[in-house]
Amino acid sequence: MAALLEIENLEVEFDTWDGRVRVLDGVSLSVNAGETLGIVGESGCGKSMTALAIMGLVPKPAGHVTRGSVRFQGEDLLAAGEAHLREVRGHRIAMIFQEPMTSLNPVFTVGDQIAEAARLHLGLGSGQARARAIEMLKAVHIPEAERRIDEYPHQFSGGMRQRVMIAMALICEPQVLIADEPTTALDVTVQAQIFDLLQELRDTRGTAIVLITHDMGAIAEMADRVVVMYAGRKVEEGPVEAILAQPAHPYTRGLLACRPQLHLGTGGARTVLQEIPGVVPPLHLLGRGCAFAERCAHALPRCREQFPPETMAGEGHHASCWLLEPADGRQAA
Amino acid sequence: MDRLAASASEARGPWREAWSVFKRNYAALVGLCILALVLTTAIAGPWLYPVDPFDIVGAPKTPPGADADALLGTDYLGRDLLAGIVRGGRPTLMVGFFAAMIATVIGITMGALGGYYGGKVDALLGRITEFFQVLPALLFAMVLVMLFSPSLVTVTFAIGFVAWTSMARLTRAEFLRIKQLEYVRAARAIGSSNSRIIWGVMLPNALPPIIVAATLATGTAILFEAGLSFLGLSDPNVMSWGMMIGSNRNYLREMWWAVTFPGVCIFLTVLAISLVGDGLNDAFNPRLRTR
Amino acid sequence: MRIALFIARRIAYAIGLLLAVAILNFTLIHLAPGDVVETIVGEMGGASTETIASLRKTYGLDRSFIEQLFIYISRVASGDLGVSTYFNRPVLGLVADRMFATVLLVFTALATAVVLGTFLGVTAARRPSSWLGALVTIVALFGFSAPVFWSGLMLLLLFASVWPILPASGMYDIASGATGFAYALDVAHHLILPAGTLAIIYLALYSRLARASMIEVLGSDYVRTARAKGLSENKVVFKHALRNAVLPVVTIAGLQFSGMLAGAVLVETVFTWPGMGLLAFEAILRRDTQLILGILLLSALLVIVGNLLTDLAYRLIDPRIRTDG
Repeated sequence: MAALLEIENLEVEFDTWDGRVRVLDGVSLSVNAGETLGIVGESGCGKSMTALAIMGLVPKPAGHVTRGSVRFQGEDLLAAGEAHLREVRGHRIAMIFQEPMTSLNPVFTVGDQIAEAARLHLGLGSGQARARAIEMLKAVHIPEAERRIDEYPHQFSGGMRQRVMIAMALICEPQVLIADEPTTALDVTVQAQIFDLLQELRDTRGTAIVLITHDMGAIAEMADRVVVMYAGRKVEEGPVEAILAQPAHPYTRGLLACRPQLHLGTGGARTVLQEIPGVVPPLHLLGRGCAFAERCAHALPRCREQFPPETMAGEGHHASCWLLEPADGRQAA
Repeated sequence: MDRLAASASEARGPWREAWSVFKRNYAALVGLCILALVLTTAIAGPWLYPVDPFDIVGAPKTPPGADADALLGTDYLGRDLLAGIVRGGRPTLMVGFFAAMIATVIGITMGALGGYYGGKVDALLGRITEFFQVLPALLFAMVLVMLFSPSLVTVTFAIGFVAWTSMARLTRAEFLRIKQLEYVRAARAIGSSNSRIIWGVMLPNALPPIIVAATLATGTAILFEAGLSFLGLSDPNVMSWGMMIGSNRNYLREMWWAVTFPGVCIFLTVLAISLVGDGLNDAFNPRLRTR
Repeated sequence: MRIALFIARRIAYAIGLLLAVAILNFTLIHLAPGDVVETIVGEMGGASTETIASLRKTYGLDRSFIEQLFIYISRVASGDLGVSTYFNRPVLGLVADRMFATVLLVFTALATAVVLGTFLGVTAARRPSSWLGALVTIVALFGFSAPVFWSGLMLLLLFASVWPILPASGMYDIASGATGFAYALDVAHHLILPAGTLAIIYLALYSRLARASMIEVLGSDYVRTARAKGLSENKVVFKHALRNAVLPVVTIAGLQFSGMLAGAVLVETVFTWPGMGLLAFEAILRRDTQLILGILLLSALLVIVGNLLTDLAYRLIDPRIRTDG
């Protein structure tokens, strides 16, 4: 069965003060209907840019999609006209963003903004759209939905605004929901609530979710498969259990080890908080080798010269690392 | 996106950084050149071309180029236009500059004290600022000049006295912003006196937008002076560009040159100042420049 | 209900401001060298001490400063702004007659500058590096740098002399004796040059401001959300972005009311437009202190009213202000 969303060899470049920088370098991934794909990585690794590229929202005029394809239900969105893209956006692929505080228009009511997508894509009249918006507000557990629908964004808290965003994204029953760091800007307790909500909505509607985050806990709970990105490239991909239990790429291992561990009980040495030494290199200074080589404890000379191809590490699980090359030269397709 | 842009060059000192950005701004450089030209004419002109603009040199209303004694023509009384233009720069520039200085000093003081102390002081100063804002500045200046005799000094003070409100607002906003910053809190923590903090720590950091505003204020003051002399309210013994326009305006149809040329001078001067001011603004705020 | 409270508070505040202006007026009269009695004595060519004393009594100048101030304030409050020494009419009536012309002029100029400026700025913002953006910046610099009276004269030269399609002065054609709609049309015809001249300066400023504001708004998160919803670019710009982008223009426009009135003085003088500004010029020419101070007071009133209207407009556009009270 063909994947619902398939990205192949996506390349995105940006014009900056330092010249043309490649922010996404040959990224390929796919999302199947109903599944939850997690994309993890540090800030700046390109995960948000991937999401924007899918939606055709790469910032112009500085950004350019230079190569690759984004196939949604078999059709390449990058080659499609603007009119078709607009039809897909908000209707069949929806997106929620990181900053709920600023992602809603302050001069329109919440109801207006939620209903707008329904009026546009589903052709609903204003009365029907409003009723539907109230339904959605209830689905995202906002109390007193009938009253609050006429309120303005500044009258809602951060967590509630994110719920409003989710309502707005799901009102047209999209097949894919892209959630770009939906909880990073929120308090810890609220974060858990939002993830619970996303899970609930996914389970009731069967929406595929692309969850972009650096919260490994959320990944563990929600994701079916995981993609790990570093400096604009994909470095590892696999089922969530495999990634968490047997991370193949040194970067993934580092990410997982960085999580603070809680040890109950007295006695025993306190563990030192792990970290990955060094910082992400500036993108315009990347060479042709593996971008992680500078920080990798196991780097080989080869790592700096050539970017490793995808190598199988298990069932449906592969990583781009020279350390993995099996002796008989077997490689992933 | 900002991260990408920020991951760029090595750090330079803020003033040198500003200068290098300014240098690249062609409009600002053009402005600077025009300004230099105007200043040179104002300073050296009367010495190089010592004709008294009040002297009658030829027939009235002579067009430019018709009379060798008056290259730019004569006005309705027969006075040399070129002399007027050469002489007219000085009062315009001087009044503009000093009036802007006065307005800046008053404005900075009001804004700094209000922004720093807050509370009742701020409320009081704010009321005063609003009060001055409500009065149409030119009218008020006109009244002041009428009541206190029209001399260059009166005009300068009148303009400075009415034009300080935007400077005060700007300074106050800057101080409110800077007050929150770490190094101010640090200065307070080590027990520096209030006045030391205001004038020694905060003001130097608020300087960039203030410098830009002061530059633009000079332009505004020049327009003010031109308006006042156009209406005949400036020193009658000093020939300024505004006065030339004002005295000749009734003969506009027959004598377009007497009105056009002085106006072009004012326009170029203010334009030059605006360009330089804009350049400074961009230089201090590289973030705002579109690529 | 909250609106009513807001307006009531503002009116009380406005009265306070006007009071302050009146006090200022009074102080100015006193600070100035020479007073009414000296002027009269001068015209008489000298007078005995008794005459001077009795003159001072007539004009109330023998009372203390505070008493005189109080008398002045109470007179102003009852609408007595003194008598114009030149026109020999009460100041209030004189100014009131001219107020409409000035308000018409300023309002037209302001509306033109805001609407046209926003339109130009928005269009320029949508195509960032096009010639329109450069044009807007250039027009802005020129409009702002030229003295308004000079631009007026240049325009006068161009449209009333070189290419005579517009009237050179006045508010309407006295000789024609037109009434009703024809009269309105005639006034509008005469209004074009003066209002246009006044509008240029502000047009320049507002289009630049609108452009910068729109560029910023177009890069904001909620515009990104609107695009992510699949809205057409026109909808994004004119529905979502515009209302937010126009806020700074409204704010600045409100702040510049007094500047506009000042500009009106110059424009009315150039075009002989029979408004308060021209009256002010005449008053200054004749050293008619009572009249000019009356004009100052009433101008302040106009500015205050204008500010109030701007604030109301702002509340209408931005709901965040409304609910904060």
